Formats: sequence, C-alpha cells, structure tokens
Amino acid sequence: MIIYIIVLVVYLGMLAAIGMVMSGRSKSVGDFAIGGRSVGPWVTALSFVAAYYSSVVIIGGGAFGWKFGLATLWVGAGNVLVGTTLAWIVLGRRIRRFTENLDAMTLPGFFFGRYGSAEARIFSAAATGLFLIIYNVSVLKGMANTFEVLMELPYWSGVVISGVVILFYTAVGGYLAVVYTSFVQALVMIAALVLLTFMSLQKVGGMTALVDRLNTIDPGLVNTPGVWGWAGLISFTLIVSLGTWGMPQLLVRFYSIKNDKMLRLGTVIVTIGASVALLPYLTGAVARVLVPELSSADQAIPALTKLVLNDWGGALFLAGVVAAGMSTFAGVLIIISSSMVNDVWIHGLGRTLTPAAELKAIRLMSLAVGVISLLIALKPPALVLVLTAFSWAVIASTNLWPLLFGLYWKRTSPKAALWSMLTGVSAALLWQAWPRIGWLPELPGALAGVHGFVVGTAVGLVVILIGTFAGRPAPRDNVDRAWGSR
Amino acid sequence: MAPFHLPWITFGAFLVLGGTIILAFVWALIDLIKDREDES
Repeated sequence: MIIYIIVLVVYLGMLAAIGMVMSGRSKSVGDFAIGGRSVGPWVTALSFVAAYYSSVVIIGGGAFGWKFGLATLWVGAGNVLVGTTLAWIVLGRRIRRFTENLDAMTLPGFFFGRYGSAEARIFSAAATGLFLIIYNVSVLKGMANTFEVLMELPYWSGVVISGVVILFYTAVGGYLAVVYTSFVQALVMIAALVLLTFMSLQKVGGMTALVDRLNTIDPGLVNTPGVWGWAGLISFTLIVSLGTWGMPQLLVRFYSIKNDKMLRLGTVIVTIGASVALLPYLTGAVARVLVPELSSADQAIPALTKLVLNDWGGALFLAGVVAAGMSTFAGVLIIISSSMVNDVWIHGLGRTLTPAAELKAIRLMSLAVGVISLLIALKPPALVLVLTAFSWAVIASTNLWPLLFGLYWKRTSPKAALWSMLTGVSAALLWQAWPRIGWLPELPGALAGVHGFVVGTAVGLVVILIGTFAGRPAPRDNVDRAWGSR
Repeated sequence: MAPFHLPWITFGAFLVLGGTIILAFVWALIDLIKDREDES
C-alpha cells in the first residue's frame, strides 16, 4: 500500500506543479482555451492520445476483450486507422487553417463563422456541453472504481482525490496545463499498458499459447466476429473510431498546434502512440484465460494487474489508468467551460464581457462544471449511467457532418447543417431508447445490435446531403473568410 | 492459418495496424515533398 501512495503522491504532485507553471502563461482567453495556438507536435500528438483513451477505454476495453475475445482487436485497429491517423490527415490541416481564418476557439464558434448560423452554434454548444458532463461523470467513476479495487479505498475518496487534482490544474493553468499534463499522462499510460501486456503474455506462455488456450475455452473467442457478432463489432468500432471526428475535446488539438506544417510530424507520432489501443483488448483476452471466474467483466484488468504485477508495477498501472481518466476529464472541462461562456453566454445571450472578465468567467465555469461532475459522480443516478452510453453517439451525431461538410464543400447549406444536427441527435436518442419504450415493437435480432450512433450519423448524412442540394449555401462572406480568400 | 495460430480474419487487425503506421509515414513524406515543391 505504501508503494501505491508514494507513486500517486509524486505523480499527482507533478501534475499540480505543471498547472502552477502554466498559470503564468495563460494571460488571455485564447491562451486559456487553446493555448494561444502555440503547442508543438509531440505535445499535441501525445495529448491527443491521452484525451482519446480514457480510463473507460482501458477498463472497459479489457472487459470487452475478456467477454468477446480477440475479435475486439479490430476495435483497437479501427481506433488507430480511422479515429487517429485518418482524422489527422483529413481534418487536421483544414481545421487549423479554418479556425484561424475565422478566429474561432470552439467548435460551435467554427459553425457560426463558417455557416453564419447562431442556431447551429447554440445547439452544438448545448448538446455537446450537456452530454460531455455525462461522459465526464463516467470517466470519474471509472477512475474511482480502479482506486477501489487496487488500493482498497472507499469509492468516494477516489472521486474526490482525482476530481480535486484535475480541477486545480485545469482552473489554474488552463489549456496549456491540460496539454502538458496530458503529454506526461500519455507517457505513463503507454508505459503501464506495455508493461501489463508484456507481463501477462509472459505469464500465459506467449501469444500462440494464448490463442490455443482461448480456442479450448471457446473458438468464438479467437474468430472474428466470434461470439460478438458483426452488428455489435462494427457498430462499436464505428462509434469509438469515427465518433472521434465529432468530439471537440480531440478536435481542439488541431486548433492549438503552432502551425499546420507541424501536423506532418504529429501524424506520425500520434499513429505510433495510438497503437497502444490494441493492448487493453489483448490483455482482456489474456485475463479470460488467467482469471476466468469474475463476477463482472469490468474486473478483468484490475484482477489481472493484481495477478501479474508486483506492487511497483501495480502502482504504475494505477497511475496509468488515473492518467487516462484525468487527461480526458480535464480536456473535456476546458471545452465545456470555454464553449458555455463564449458560445452560450456571450454570443447566445448577447452579454458583453471584457477580455479579463471573460477569462475569469471561463476559469469559474471550469470549476463549476468540475464540481457538478464530481458531485454527480459521488452517487451517479441510474439515468447518468444509461445516458453515458448515449453521450458519444449524441455528440458525434451533432458535430460530425456539419464539420466535415463545412471543411470540404463550400456549397453546404447552413439550414441543412442545423437540421442534420437536430435529426441526427433525435434519431440516435430514439434508437437507443427504443428497447425501453414499451409500446414500440421489438427490433429484429440483427438490428437490435446496431448502436444509435450508426443510426444518428446515417440520418444526419442523408439530411445534410438532401438539405444542401435543396437549400442555399452560407453567405459568400463566411465561405470566403473560412477558405482564407479574403 | 496466420501467425500465432490465429485465423487470418482476426490477424488482419495487426495487418491494418502495420498498414496504418506505413500510411502515416508515406503521407508525411508526400506532404513534405509537396511543401518543398510549393516553396521552390
């Protein structure tokens, strides 16, 4: 236990120190929200990895590997190809240029600048803000559960310890503190995952022995799609891979990189760093062999950690899981607070604030949102847990197509973008809620496994295409400014 | 049968990962060459 405490105190103290150092560099709203567009490729790339893979991915990914076997490796491969490398190639440069041309610091701000639509700005800010809070609650819960299992601490203390440290460095240091702590957190997380994978594969007798032993338990644990089935595997891979293209806490890394040439080196670094995505699924499958009797699949990774790592390794792994959760939570906190103040309070409700008052308001908002998330996470109601599964679907359905079309197709209609958001979100929510609505007919087996994200984004795509052909493009001035032609 | 006694369809996940890393390097190289051509 003492080793765990030493590692955590040193680690959390270091994060708080980064927050203090960066507080001196956050002098304006632009510094606080997007680091004054001054971040280098290494920090941008690795902080992207840290914000992408939360504690939910490590613990939840391991649970999926334990339950569904090696077919889940495809989820990790999808995370790297679609969720990371293609996102950087397709979105990175244009987002960097357009947001600078439009002077936008938030995704809703980009929608306003690109389409001239105040409604799209407000809807995107509100839907994204609300569902990111719900997502944050689940991230905090994941961290606290890990504290509970590995350190035998009460659940509430895990929530409080992680919540307070994140709130401190985020509110004090702003975006720069978030990206620099995320950089450190990515390194800790990668080291922890590599260590656990190496030690657990050694324990099971190597990769071939793992496959042979899984085959004897159930050949479905080795085949693809195996025991999961195509509908579940494809839906889940899409939501956690293509879904990133609409997640503002990840897209903000493109706004804040120093210049678009740095995206080149960043793409190589982020691809290699993101490759650890396969490891939670692989170690989850190892856990199926080594710890087959568990009351819940969520215990697979913590139980495996206890079995194969000594105290120092276990402490490093705990730090890695906490790192994954903290970096995601902090990144989300900055996004919600800057969007609520800038998009909703100032531009939506028409309030005027001086730059200094705006900076203060964003700091206070990040504290308020953090405290609310922390209080909900202390005793999350069932509804929050249900909505967590919806959060990525709703956020991605809101932002994905209006962003992608806005970057690549000058003709895209503002009304089509707004209706794509509204119908996409409604379809995703309705689809996810379908089994809980008693009077609706039961969905056939193959359709029942399809996630609301797939339905929401499909509906949103159709609406934006039809609406753009039928409607009018954005005002010429907005389009020219976005493309930098004036 | 693919390496490690895996079926090819499951081993494909590792091939996609390797292909993605190669894609990132190739894209960066092409982008660099394009930039140099634009500058000259």
